[in-house]
Amino acid sequence: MGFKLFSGETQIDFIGHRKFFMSLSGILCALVLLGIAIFGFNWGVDFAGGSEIEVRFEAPVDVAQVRKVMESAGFDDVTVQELGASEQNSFLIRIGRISMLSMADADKAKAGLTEKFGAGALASFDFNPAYGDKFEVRFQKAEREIAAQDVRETIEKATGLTVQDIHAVVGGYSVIMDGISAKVEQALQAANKQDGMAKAELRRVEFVGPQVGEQLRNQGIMAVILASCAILVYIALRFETRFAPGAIVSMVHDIIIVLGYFLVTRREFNLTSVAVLLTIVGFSVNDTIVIYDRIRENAGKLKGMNLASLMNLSINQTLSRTLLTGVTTMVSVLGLMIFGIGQLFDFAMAMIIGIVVGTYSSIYIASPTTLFLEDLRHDKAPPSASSGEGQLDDKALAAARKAM
Amino acid sequence: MDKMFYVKAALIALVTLLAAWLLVPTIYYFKLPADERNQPEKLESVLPAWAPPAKIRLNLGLDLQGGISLGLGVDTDTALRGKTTRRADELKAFAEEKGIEGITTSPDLSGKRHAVVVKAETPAALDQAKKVLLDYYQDMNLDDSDATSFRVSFDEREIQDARTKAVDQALKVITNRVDRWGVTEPIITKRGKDEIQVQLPGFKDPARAKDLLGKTAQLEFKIADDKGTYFADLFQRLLGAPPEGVKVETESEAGKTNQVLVLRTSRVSLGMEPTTGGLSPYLIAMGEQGADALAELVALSGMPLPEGREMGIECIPSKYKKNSCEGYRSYLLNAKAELMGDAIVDARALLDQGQGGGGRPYVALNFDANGAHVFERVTGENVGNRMAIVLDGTVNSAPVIQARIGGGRAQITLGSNKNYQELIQEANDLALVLKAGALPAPVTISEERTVGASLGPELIQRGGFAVAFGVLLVVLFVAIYYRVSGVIVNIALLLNALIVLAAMAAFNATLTLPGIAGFVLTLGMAVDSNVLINERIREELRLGKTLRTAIEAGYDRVFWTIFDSNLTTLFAGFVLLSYGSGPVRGFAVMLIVGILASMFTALVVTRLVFEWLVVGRGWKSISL
Repeated sequence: MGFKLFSGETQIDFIGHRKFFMSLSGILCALVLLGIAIFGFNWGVDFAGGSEIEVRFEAPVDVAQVRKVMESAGFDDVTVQELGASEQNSFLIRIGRISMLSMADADKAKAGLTEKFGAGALASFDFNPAYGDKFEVRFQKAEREIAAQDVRETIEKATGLTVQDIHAVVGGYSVIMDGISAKVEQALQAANKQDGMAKAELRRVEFVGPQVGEQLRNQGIMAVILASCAILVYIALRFETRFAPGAIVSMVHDIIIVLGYFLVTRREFNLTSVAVLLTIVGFSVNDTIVIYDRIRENAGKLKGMNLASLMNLSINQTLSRTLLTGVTTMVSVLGLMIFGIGQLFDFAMAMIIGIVVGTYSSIYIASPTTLFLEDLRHDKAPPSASSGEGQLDDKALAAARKAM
Repeated sequence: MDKMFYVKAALIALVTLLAAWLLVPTIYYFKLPADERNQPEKLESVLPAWAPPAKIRLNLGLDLQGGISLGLGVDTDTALRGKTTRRADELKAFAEEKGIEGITTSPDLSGKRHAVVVKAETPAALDQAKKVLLDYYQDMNLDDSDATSFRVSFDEREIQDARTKAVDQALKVITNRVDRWGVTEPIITKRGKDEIQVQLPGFKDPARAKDLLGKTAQLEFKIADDKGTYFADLFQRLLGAPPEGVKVETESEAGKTNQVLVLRTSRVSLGMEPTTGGLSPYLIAMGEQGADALAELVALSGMPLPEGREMGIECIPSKYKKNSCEGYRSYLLNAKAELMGDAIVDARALLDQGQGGGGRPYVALNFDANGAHVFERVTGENVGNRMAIVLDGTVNSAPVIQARIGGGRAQITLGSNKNYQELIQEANDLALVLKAGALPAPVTISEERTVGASLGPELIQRGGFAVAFGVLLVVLFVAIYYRVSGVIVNIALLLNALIVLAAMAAFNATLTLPGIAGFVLTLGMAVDSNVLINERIREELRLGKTLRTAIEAGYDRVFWTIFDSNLTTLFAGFVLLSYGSGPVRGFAVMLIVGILASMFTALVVTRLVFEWLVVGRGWKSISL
């Protein structure tokens, strides 16, 4: 025989302690929600828009040091976060904007060109911040002989920025200015030369426009709500409608606690986090369903047993499975936590928290909520046998064992 | 052992073999050096003959192999405003054509409206205009009217249609551009209603990519010089004295031998096509890098193009791969563009319903007043010559000018050696191209993700460690906890992993970083079904049942539990699939495939092994 978590069947009174655990969870959730309202999340670029740059240094560097370099380079809205535990000397630099060029810079460039080549020379000057660090300048027919080098020098002089690339288009030039990543790279190189800070390498650069960010965020919220609804409708159809609220409450509970992880640790909340939340939703309900399934099965066999005892019996019967599944799933993502970098580390960490909470809630929250709501209903109606205090009823249990 | 047992055993063996076979290209793909992975022909050349086609494999996502991913928002509002403004001019012109005097029109773009206000000097003219215009322009509705004016606006369907077309045009323009860069395996897809995602694996210069993708489409009409012998001279000269890097080879086809210039992966030969001026020579370069090869040959030959001429290059679309060229051909064009795309008011693909037309598709073009004038002159001067339609420097088609074309309306009839479906497709494509010049919908870069080449291999390695570690822990845990039956569960688990990877390869799915996380997570969750079964068997045994009946009862009773609980996770997976972009989709696919595979291995495979041990080998007890 293999190992067993418990010898034989456990007889733990889960339901009897429901008031304590439901209050505890309730308070915890309230605190997290309050925290979210006050502090908000550390939204990643996926949702907040902006730029994100992953940098690795050749030798250990301090977070504050990196932030200082960025600030001295003129980025005032910068956040620097150290990447996952296992990844050495790697940082995530987040900057609120997506292009170096501002409207003011573009105006300066335009003014400079007008000054240099005459007021009537420019046929058009196009700058759109959404295109990134580039503008297109076209000249009147008579002025098309203007050389690229002149345009480059004029723009660099007028704006004080560096032109990265300039090439001819019909009637003029397309000018690409140095972008954020170039600026960051320069700042890091300068810090390396002057202050002897370790050499840095830009490994990943992401820009997300603010509109896309907002869109992604709304879609993310919709996705979680949609998945939850689909699951609940399924539960209501497959089981009884009165079971659905318990599943809802435990699912919402799990989501809130996992959100709490992102709230408390200030780790970045991004697209991967939404994937974690959705997986947790699936996992949590999965656990709950196994218990509900057993309640349904037992209810068929043990007619007359009150709901509380029925729930207690079912939770006990499925307890080792509930815990085992939790453990294997947790163990599987452990590797990601140990070897994982950045988003993988957060994925694993949040997932592990979700698994623990999901397991807990399917035992202590889902069924008790159903019972609680039943009690509320019956308080208004005349008392009935279908609910009662969560004491394990010895007679009923004995009957249960015989029946199986 | 009953018959069903052998049937099931055979089924499992078949699934296992099939899965292993499907993974062969993936294994070879990962064995290739990183910089050769995106060259399908490299993979094909190392694949053994018995392996599945090279395209059945797992691809590495951009986050794992480096490259650029851009999200482009198509500004359909601007395109619609352009359409409304042009329609205002059209309405006026049409009214005048019908002899209605004193009409003025102006676009009304206030708020989210796409309307045209029509004013007339007399009430009679107003009534007449209202009747004539609404009668002819079925896609517009009357909004309101007063004594001196009325307002018509596009109906909702037309607006939706215009938006969709604007996105399609942008997609076409972008595909056209990317094709010319020689980026291998670019992925260009529509995302949502008005977004396009461009993935360029291995591409390193985001500024250049953004610049090329962000600029407005440039459409030109150029006259082809079919009498010019430049390409024939060039070819002879290169054959006579091949420059360094160019080899001359002889190939024979249908009894004829041809000489071919080979430049890296491209094979360049000389073609002659009959035109009104006699045989017109052109070069044809087979291979995905053909466009570059043609340009390079011209540069290497030391033979400049004749004064006032330039080389136009046309893509020969691949029969096997969508949005891809199997080669390129050259045109000798007048460098001067006769007409630009902004002269086009409208272009659409239509079917010729007239006598003898037989429903042949053609493309109808309308020019603005100035464009019509130029077009009439140019076509008059060049009857019999070809007019190349050049989009962003690539020749899209080069129809022969049959006659002088006046009136600002032109028709392009398409070649006939194709089937009907292809012709319709071609007509639609050409209309899109022509419209791209007419109604440019600017694209804005809404998202840019660049992954350096050094990050990918490290992530793959670490991801590999993480997966190996996770799987090892799960396997150890299960084996220690369940002993013999644990071994059975572990066999199922490994088979599960094999099936998941094979299914992903069969779908030609992309492996991303979150996908790796999803893979190991599904393996952890896959154990769940077996835990449910084993725990249930334990319970049944505790009730005093024999091993055989306990196993049967265990499997039967938990079937619906497994079904219900997995279905909910599947829901979450599908929602994620429809929501997520890029990497997150990779995770969702893993989750879905993993759950389906785990149901198969848990319910079919482990049960069969139990049956074999208990019924076939007569075991009376198993450590559970």
